[in-house]
Amino acid sequence: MIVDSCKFMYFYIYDSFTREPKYAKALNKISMALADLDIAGEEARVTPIRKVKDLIKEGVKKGYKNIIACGDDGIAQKVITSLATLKIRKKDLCFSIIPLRSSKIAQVLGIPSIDAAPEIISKRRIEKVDLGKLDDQYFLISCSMGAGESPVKLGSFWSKLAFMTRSVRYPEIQLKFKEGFKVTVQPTKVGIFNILDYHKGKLSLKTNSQISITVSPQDGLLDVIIVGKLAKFNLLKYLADIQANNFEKIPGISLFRTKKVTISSSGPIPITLDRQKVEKKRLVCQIIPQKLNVIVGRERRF
Amino acid sequence: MFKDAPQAPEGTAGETIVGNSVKLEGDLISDENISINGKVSGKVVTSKNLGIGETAEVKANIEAENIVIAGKVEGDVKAREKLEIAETGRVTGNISAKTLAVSPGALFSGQCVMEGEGKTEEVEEEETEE
Repeated sequence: MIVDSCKFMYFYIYDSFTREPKYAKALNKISMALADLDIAGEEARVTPIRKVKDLIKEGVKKGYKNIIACGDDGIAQKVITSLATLKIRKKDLCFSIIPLRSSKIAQVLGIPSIDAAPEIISKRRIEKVDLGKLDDQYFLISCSMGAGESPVKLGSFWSKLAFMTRSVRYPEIQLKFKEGFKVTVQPTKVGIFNILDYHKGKLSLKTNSQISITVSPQDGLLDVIIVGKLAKFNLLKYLADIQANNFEKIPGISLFRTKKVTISSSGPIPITLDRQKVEKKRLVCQIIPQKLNVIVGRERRF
Repeated sequence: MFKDAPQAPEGTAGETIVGNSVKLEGDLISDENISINGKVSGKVVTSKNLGIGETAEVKANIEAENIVIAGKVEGDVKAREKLEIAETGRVTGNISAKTLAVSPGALFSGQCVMEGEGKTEEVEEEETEE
């Protein structure tokens, strides 16, 4: 659905890092592009006193329909959670992003760069998508956990050797699915996906040559992908693929589609939620269907 | 041939996969294709196809449109169309299908019910190794 952008009001929320002088040129360029396209609106910047949630409440009260996060996935994730938890229900509220830093959320929405963002936002092509909810936080793309989540950079021979000699812990976790079954596993990684951020959400798995799956944010389901415990050599071999959510070559993958899953472990589980890190012992992850309107570009990955 | 994954019936586009490092307990009831390579106990029911790989250990009653078994199954097996037990397949329980294929080397212990058009044939087998 494409509509005339002039009828709508735009509210731009800038992350605090955009105060840094190195972003001045980019911000100036954005302001000019937004003015040229007649979609310049109110601008607000996050500060220690002015939180994202408060800014959004104010903006929505003023009647803004388009809430645009300007920054990276950190602020985007906060804006998404704030929009999803707003007490005032506004059916025509839309979210989008101007990526001032590398942003997976911008990529999946088909907004490849700062330069492309203003025009895509002005066209207002809207899709209604599901959101994942991990306890009280919402996510658009995915959340993940496990040994494969450790930030390891394997560049040189020596860093690989150091990795091989280091012990990797695989805590056992239980996943209780709403659909009536329970899974116990010592995972290298568990990824819970609303959107798969590559190949337009399509996944072909090595476990069966016939299997081809589409992960869609519009099907009312979360796709839970589990990479089982891998031998050290295989972990080293596939680590880059595991961290990049490229599961196609990895052996022993499990896949379950669910509306709700409860995950528990005897120890704390490090979780990455749309690139933000949290740590919990027990968590509930569920899908909230048709929760958010998003402005997307033609290159969106769903 | 079936080491990592079962040879799923033709046309399968599996959507639920139980990997070989996973232990699943409970009722796995689905409208999607299922591939099992890990340990499963409870009940497995799908309106589509089911493949049980060589590394799988299933203690459950299972029901699906087409079923291929290359691993161990303890429980009753009901295929609404075709049941295939591969050479590495081990089935302990009663089986029922319209079409049955048992490879040489497969092990089956239990009763077999073949459901043809309008008639039901019962075949009793005990500890059969072909």
